[in-house]
Amino acid sequence: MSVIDIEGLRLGYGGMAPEQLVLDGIDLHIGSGEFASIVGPSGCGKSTFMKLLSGLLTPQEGRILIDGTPISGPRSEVGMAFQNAIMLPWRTTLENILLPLEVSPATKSEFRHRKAQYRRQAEELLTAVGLEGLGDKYPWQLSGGMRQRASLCRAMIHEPPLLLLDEPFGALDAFTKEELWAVLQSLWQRRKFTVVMVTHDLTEAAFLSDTVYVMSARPGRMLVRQDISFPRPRDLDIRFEPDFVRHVHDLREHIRGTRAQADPHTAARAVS
Amino acid sequence: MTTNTASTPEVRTSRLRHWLGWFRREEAMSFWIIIGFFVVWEVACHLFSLPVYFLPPPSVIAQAAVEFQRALMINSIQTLWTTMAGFGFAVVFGLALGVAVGGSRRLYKGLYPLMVGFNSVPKVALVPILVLWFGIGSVPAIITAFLISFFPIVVNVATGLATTEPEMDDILRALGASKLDRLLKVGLPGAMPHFFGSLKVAITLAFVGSVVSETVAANSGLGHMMLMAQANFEVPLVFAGLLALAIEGVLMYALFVVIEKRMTGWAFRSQQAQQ
Repeated sequence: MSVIDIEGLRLGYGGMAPEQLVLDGIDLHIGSGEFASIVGPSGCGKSTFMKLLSGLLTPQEGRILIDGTPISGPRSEVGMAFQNAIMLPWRTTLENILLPLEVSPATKSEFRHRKAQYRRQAEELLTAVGLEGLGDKYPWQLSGGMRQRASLCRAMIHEPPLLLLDEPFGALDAFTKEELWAVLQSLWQRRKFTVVMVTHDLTEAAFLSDTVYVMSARPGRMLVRQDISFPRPRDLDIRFEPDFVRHVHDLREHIRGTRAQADPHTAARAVS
Repeated sequence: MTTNTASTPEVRTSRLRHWLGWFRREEAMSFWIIIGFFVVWEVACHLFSLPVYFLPPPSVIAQAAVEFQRALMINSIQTLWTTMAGFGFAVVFGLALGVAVGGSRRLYKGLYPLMVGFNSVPKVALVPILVLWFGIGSVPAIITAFLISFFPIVVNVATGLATTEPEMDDILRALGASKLDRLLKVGLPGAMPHFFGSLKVAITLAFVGSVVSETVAANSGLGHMMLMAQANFEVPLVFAGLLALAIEGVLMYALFVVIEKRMTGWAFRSQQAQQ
């Protein structure tokens, strides 16, 4: 479980001029074991924000502290999953899931000796996401939803205290999506890691999160923080309760606001 | 006394039917087309009564091949070994340079124009220089085969490495994986379909290289033999040499198709699965 503190974060690609600025002054506190989501108009710098959290990018200004220490580069304590559940087609699903343990400096040296134990861990995870006994299948033998489940397993195999999810369910059909929300929620409840998730789906954000942040159009800032305090575990039917609907509606309004703000700006740029 | 089941008439007809069935299958198409090609060639030669020194019919070429089988054999082996030696060097150095170029953007940008320049030079123009340095013999043929088949391997390996999925790279880098690990676990295996695919192109090019060199400056090999045969007006032998080259080329190509399927079968299967 990580505690994330972000202070005065600013980042520009190629420079800090207004048109190069991607993130402009983000201050954020995400508590230990919190499930936080970030929503916002497309191109607002959400994915850049995730790269900063994973240590793949360093900000020009401000800093990110995880458990009190500023991050200065990649660390193995994060797990990542993306919309595109890329798997290595020459490895079985189980071998794909074990890949982080194989390359992470923390576990690399003991990987050979503890392979049996790691395999058991991977199989437990597969069972947890509903892929029991499918570890020997190759990724191309799995459906899109199954691959996304496997990619969640890969993100969690090294038991990272922080999970970064970049539109993890964006490419799935509605039913698979709902199933995976439940899977993710129960895994999170059991293991209590901190989650930061970027999504376009407001229902998804409201259903899974403790807090939802609305980001402004580029350059990105956190505009609104919305706490969502339904008890856990949440049932899928909660989505039809008036309180829940109000949350989603509020988020929708905030996003519409950011888009209205952004429109004259992008229009001006298109003309010039 | 045991009864020999293989000789009963029923077994014989069913076996015959089995064979006839094979000739009707899709795989047999190439067989029929090759047969047809030689039949048309043979018929055309007789129909237009082409002189043997202009275009000999396949039957005459076959006779020449039998008559000169020793020379054909020796020179085929000579060409095959120089080709394979040059190709072998091309694989080793092509893979190494491909990995270096594909792994480093700086090296890629820096080396690319020079490599394109080298590749644009017609290799036949290099043979006189190679003869100047190494004398007439196998060495210029090996080097020409190497030079001509080297480039496609480099380009394909580099391209294969460059097409690694960026998200996959992000996942590994965020874990703190070393550059070597990323190359060994993801980059190189992912580039293997490109690499093995390029070998099919490279092996046929290697034949071009060695034969070109043999034709310009050598005292053995199919290229040299054909040049000699042409000078002696043994036109059927020239064609027999061509045929031997074609057979060697097809066999090597087929060999690398098999190797490719063996080594990177997952790429074919995952492609089929996505369709």
